[in-house]
Amino acid sequence: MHSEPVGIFGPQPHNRTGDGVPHERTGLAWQRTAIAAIVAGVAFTRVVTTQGPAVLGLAGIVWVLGGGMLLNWAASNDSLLRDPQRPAASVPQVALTRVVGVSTTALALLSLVVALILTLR
Amino acid sequence: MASTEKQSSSPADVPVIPRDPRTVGQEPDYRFTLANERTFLAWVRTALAMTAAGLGTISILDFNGSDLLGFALLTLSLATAATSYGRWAANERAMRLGESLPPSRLPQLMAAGTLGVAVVATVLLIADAF
Repeated sequence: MHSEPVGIFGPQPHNRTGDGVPHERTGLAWQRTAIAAIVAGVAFTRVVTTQGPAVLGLAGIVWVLGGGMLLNWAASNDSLLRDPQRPAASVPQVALTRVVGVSTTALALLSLVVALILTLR
Repeated sequence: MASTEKQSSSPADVPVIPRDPRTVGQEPDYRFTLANERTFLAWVRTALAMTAAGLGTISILDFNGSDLLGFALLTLSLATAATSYGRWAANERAMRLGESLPPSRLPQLMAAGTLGVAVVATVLLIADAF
């Protein structure tokens, strides 16, 4: 018997794979990460501008702006959200992954330094 | 067509920031690549949450030992963030070469670390109340 999945408004579109929509889940994961980056950046900026070396607030603002740019990219990247059939070579976001990993490490290190300054005062 | 060249992975050859893993092996199923990317992003979010929690603990909470908890959270955050890209690249590389995924002690470290923070926080809060 023919058993092709049929939704309320017709057949399933081609980009719905048997195990869910991995590209869409990944796109949403990028968006959640960007939101977390914005929140962490706001917290860092707030702490350094009210209690610590205020000049580091610039780094916090850059972080928040970077998080906003990441969120904008993740929310509008058509290939990430709608095209799982694209060539495999273009799937890994190598450069972006590297930037996010390195900058998160820098923020964690900077936060540790700020905490040390606040504690030794 | 991707190169199938295998690279040496002796400790002396391992760079601080791992190289682009796409230089070795064959393209894996794109779903595995995306799953690896989501795992990396989950670790980054964990690191960011711990950074915010550590900063909040040090700047807002005010009881004996709260600074210690803040430093513990920030140290865990640094460990998580510093290893996240390396783990992603190592997993991607292993998938491309058809090898087993490399083991990591980070989950055990995180479990022990967060448990330690929770236990110490409980003890400090009880001690502070009396």
